[in-house]
Amino acid sequence: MSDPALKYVLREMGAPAREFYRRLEAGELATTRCERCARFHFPPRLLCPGCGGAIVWHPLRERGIVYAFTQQERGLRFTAPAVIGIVELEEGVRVFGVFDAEYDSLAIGQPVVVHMRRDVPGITLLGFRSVTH
Amino acid sequence: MTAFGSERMRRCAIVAWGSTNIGRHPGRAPAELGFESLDRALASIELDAGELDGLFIVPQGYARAQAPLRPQRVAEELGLSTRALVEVECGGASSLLAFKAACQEIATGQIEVAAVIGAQVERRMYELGMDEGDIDHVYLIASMLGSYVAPYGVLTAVACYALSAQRYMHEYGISAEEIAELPVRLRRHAALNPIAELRDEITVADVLASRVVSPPIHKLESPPWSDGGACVIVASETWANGRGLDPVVLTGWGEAHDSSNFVAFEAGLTNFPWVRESAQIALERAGRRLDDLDVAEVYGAFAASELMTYEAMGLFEHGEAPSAIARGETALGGRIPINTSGGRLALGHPPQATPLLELQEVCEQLTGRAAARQVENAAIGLVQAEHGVMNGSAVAVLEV
Repeated sequence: MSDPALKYVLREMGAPAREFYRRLEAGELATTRCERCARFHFPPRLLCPGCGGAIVWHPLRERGIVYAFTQQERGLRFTAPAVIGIVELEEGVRVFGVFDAEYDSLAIGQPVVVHMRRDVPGITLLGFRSVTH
Repeated sequence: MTAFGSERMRRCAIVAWGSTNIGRHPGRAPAELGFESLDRALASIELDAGELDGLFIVPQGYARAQAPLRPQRVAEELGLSTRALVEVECGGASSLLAFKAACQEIATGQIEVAAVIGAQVERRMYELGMDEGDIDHVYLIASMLGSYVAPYGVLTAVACYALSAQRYMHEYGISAEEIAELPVRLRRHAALNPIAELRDEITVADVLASRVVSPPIHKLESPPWSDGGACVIVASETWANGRGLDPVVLTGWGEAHDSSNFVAFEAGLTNFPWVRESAQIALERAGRRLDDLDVAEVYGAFAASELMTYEAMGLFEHGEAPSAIARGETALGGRIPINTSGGRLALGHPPQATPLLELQEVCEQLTGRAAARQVENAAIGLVQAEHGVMNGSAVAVLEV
């Protein structure tokens, strides 16, 4: 049984989103890449938005840096003190997720690793954990 | 070249406009606010509703479960037979795109005169309580953020605009004080606008002391979720001249939309090339340059995004809008007065009506009816609206 707040999100997912989350559930972070121009896409696409070339699914290294982060006072989940935002992966792809960190401990550019969050019933999401030196 | 780039189209113009006060209208239906706006517009040129041959409407129920403001229902209440009934939805840009649709039907000769109406009454949605249907509607609306943001429970655009504001401050070394200056300036414009919701003076200290809604965005850097309605009457230039009206002519239209839903992950969060592109297309069709503009109304849903819009449009270099507004360049009497209405942060923001309120402000400026906030000899104006987190933009150039 999935979280009722996901009703329309799941109902409206297209083929690329379903494949993205199917792979996340299986433990793989992946997105589409153009076979012709080698460009990575996020979100994943049906065709390359750059050159119209065919796509192939490609795994992403689960490491990156903090790109931007914030908190929301009202939301359906992950409200403050949870921190949400965007990480830029080593391939240059930017993905949205939840940080396992307090807001004041984060800074743009900090290294993070990606992991699968399985705490929302019905979907596997992205978590970002700071890398300690 | 004509507004839409083809020589074979007719010129069209705004001949009348009207709105409610922006703020709180508890207990009233959006349709009532829409009709009040329409009545004001029609009365200003002594036009009977029966003469309209097109209705262009924006659906209501943005955040609260409501029956849509269907063009057919509006036509029935007005007792109006038409040759064009159109409903347009594209997020915050909706009513500007409804205006475009009306202009295109006029430009191609399908109709002569039409009303474009947008209205919203959702201010008290939380106070009034929500039933199961309203909550289900919240789930539906939240899904607009798409498959890669909505699953994280993001309910409004504020969090996404906050990420953009943080990047802006980081990339260009902009301080919280510099951003807080914008709402202070916009309140000074709103103080001169009798329909504006927030007309009291505030200071930078007030802005920074207000609640942090989604860091780094403070409450006073956010628009109020206002109730309000607005309407513009559009006609062919020939029809307007035949009636002896002084029309505000649409001389250029441009729009550009990224291939993203809501957040342009790939392009970054501070540049918004679609804003520049839409403005350039519109100006080129009008045969004008940015320097020619006397006045502009831009969407500016939050303080940082408004500053980035000025820059994305090319009015200032990236990172330089904060120092420009501090010098008064966008204030009344400045080089290019922007958001003389008070903008979203001070006029108020009923998103379904907002672009029509922007058109109204520029029309008042171009026809010398802006009273205490009149820009002297204003003859060329620009209106911009956006959707998503500025991942698409539409621009109209208007002239008298």
